[in-house]
Amino acid sequence: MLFQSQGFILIFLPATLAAFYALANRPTGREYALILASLIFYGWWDPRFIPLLVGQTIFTWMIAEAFLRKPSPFWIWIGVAANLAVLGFFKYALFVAGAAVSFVGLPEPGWNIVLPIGISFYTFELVSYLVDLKRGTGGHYGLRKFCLFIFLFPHLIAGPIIRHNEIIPQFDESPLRPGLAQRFGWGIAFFVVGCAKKVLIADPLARIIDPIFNIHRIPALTDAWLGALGFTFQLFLDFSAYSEMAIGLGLMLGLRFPDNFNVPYRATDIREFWRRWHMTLSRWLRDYLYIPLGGSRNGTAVYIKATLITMGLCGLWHGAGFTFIAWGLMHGVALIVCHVWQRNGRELSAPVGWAVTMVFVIVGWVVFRADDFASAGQMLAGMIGSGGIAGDTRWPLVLAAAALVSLVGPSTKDFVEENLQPRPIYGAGLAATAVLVILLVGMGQPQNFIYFQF
Amino acid sequence: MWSRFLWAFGLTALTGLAGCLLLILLVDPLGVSPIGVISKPGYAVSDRRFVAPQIIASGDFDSFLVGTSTIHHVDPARANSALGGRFATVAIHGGTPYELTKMMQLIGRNAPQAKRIIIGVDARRWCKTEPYAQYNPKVLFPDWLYDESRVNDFQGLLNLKMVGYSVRQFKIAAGWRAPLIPATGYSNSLVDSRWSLSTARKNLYKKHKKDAAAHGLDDADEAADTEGKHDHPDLVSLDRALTALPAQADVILVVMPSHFTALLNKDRSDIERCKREIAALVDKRHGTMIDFRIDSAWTRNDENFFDENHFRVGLAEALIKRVKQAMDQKQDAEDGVYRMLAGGKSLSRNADAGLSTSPRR
Repeated sequence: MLFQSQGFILIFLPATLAAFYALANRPTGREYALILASLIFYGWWDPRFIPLLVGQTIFTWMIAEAFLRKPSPFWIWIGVAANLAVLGFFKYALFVAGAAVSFVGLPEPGWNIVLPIGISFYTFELVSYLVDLKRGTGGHYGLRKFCLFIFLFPHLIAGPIIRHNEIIPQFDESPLRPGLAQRFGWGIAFFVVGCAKKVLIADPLARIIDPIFNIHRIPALTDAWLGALGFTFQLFLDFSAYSEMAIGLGLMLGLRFPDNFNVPYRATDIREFWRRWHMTLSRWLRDYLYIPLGGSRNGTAVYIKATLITMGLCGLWHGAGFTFIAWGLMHGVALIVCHVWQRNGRELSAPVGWAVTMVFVIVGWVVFRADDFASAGQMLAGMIGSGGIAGDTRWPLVLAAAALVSLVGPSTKDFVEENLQPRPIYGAGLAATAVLVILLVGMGQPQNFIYFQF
Repeated sequence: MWSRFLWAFGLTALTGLAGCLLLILLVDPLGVSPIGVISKPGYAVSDRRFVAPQIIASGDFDSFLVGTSTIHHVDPARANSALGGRFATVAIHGGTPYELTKMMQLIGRNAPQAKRIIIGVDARRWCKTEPYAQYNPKVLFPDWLYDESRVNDFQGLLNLKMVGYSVRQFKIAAGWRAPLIPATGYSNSLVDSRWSLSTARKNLYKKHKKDAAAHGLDDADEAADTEGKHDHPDLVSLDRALTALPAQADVILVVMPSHFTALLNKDRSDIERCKREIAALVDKRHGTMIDFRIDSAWTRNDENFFDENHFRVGLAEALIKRVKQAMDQKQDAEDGVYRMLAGGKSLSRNADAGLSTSPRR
C-alpha cells in the first residue's frame, strides 16, 4: 500500500486515525492499534515477510533483555551479527554468489531471493539500538513499545531511519496534548506537499527519463543531460517526498520524526551535501561506522580508511551491485579531497563550489542509476557529446518545475513551519491539491518509490 | 486558528471528492452506476473496450457485430437493411482472443434475447500456434466490466479521466458536442477520402513483391511444404465463447477478407487447417461460417484494401450483402468470392484457400 494510493489515503489512513484517536486516552490501546495497523500496512505488500519482520524484532528485543540482565558484549555481537546476517542473506547473497561464480567462470545461479521491503531500514534501526545498549545509551523498553518503534508504518518501509531514544519516549505523550490542531495541520501540509512532489513532478519525470537510461547506446548530448538532470531531480523529489509524507503521518499521530533532507542541491561542497542529503542515514553511518572506524581525529591514514569504508558500505547499502559500491567510493574520494582542500585553507567561491558539487553529484547519480558500468559509460559519453548533440526527446516543462522546487524553493520543513499561515484559504488550497493528487493517482497504478528497492 | 485551517481543509477536500464522485455516478460514462440519470445518445469514451459493455446492456439492440478492426468497418445500419434486426457493433481494435471471448460471454449474459451475432474471424488472432497474448499491450482491457461481479465495477472510478469523461458525456447529452462513439458503436476510422492506390500498394506489397505475388509464386509453394500438425490453443476459448452465446441466436462466423498477399504468408496452410477446426466448432453449434479469406476477385483487387487486413467501406457494404446471400443460398458463391465452411454446401471446403498460381482477374 503506497502512501499516495487511494486505498491508503481514503481508507487506511482515516480508519487508522479514527482508531488511534478513539483510543487516545488509553496508551496501551492506541499502541496496539498502531501495531495492528502497521502490520496490515506491511502485509499489504507481501504477508510472507511479516514473520521475518516480527521475528527479527522480537529476537533483537530478547537479545537486549539478555544483555540488560547480564551485560556481556557477547549478546550484542550475537544480535548485531544475526541482524546483519539476515540483511546479508536477503540483500547480498545473490550478488555475492553471482560475483563468485562469475569470477571462476561459471554461469549465473538460476535462483532468486525476493528482498523483503524495508529490510535495510529496519535492520539499521535494530542494530543501532543494540550498539547503543553496549554504549550505555540504549533504554530498557517493553516488547510492545519496542515493536511499535520498528513497525510504525510511516517510517517502516523507507525511513527516516529513526533511533529508539527519539521516538519511543514520544509514545507516552498524549496525542491530545496542547497543540493538536497545529500538529495535525502541519502533518497534513507535509503529507500533501510530499504527495504533490511525487505525483505531479517525480513520476512524470520518471516516465521521460527511464527510456533514456534504457536505450543501450550512447545518447545524444541533449538526451544524456536530460536523463542525468531528470534523474537527479527525480531521485531527490521522490525520496524527499516519501520522507515528508512519513513526517506528516507522524505528526498526525502526534509524533515528531527527524528531518531527512535539507535542500541538498544547494550545497556548495560535497561535505555539505552529505549533511543535507538523507540525513538520518548520514548520521547513522557517522555514529555507527565512521567514528568507530577512527573518524577524522586519528591521523590522515585512519581518516582515509574510515571514509572509504564508510562510503563504500553506504553504496552497498543502497544496492547489491558494483555500480553502487563505485558510487559510494566516488563520494568517499570526493569527501577526502574536499576535506584536504578545506583543511589547507583553500576556498572556492559559492557559485563555483555549487557548480563543481552539482556536476559531481549528477555524474554520481548516473553511475548510481545505470544498470551496469557499460550503461553508465554510455550515458557519461553522451554527456560529453560522443553521441551527437541533438537528441530525440524534448526537454519537458516538468523538468523546469523540478529544478525550481529542488534548487530555488524553500525546503518543505521551512514552507510548512515558517511560511504556512493557519488561514482557511491555505487549508482550502492544500485540500484542492490533495483532491487533484487523489484524482490523478486513481488513473493508474501508483508508482513505487525509488528507495523501496534499497 | 489551526482549527479553522483544518475545517477549511476537511470541508474543501470532502466537497471536492464527493462532488467529483457524485458527478461520475450521476453521469455514469461507463454505465456502471445504479444512480446514473443521463441518457446517452452516444458515448464520451473513445476506447471501445469501455463502451461495448454499455452497448450490449443498453437493450436497444438485438444483433451484434463482434470482432476486431477487420469487421469494424461494417456499418450496423447496412446489416439492419440486409439481414433485418437492430445491429450494433462491439468490435474492438486489436482485440485479442481473450478479450473477444470475454465480449461474447458478456453478450451471452447481458443480451440473452439476441437474435443474430456476426463474428468477424480475424485469422491473425485466432489461428496462432502459440497462445495469443491475453491483452493488447497498448490498451487497457477493463476485465471488471466484463465479469459477473457488479461490485468491482466501481474500482478505479474516482479519477481525473472519469471526471473528464463525465463532463464530456454531459455535454453530449445536452447536445453541445458530438459523441466520440455513436450509440450503435459504429464509426469509421479508416476514412475513405484518405485512401490512395499508391499508399495502399505500398502497404500491400511490403512483404511480397508485386510481380511475384501476382503469380502466387512467392512463399506459397514453400508454405505448402511446411504444413505441420499445429494446435491452435486459442480455439479452446473460441469454443467456450460460442457456447456462451444465447442459444436461440443465429451465429454467423465470417472469416474476413484479407488481400491475397496475406494468403501467401508461410502460415497459409496452417490457417486453412485452423479454419476447418473453427468450422467444426461452428457446426457443433449449428451456426454458419463463411470464408472470404480466399483467393478471389475481391482479394486480388488492390483497390479494395488499405492494407493486407483492412478493407475499404465499399467492400464492407458488399460483404454484408454477400453474408445475406450466403445465408439464403447456403452454398459457395458462384463467382468465388466466398465459400461456406459451415451451415451450407461447399465444393471447396477442404481446398487450400483456392490459391492459384495465376492471377484471377
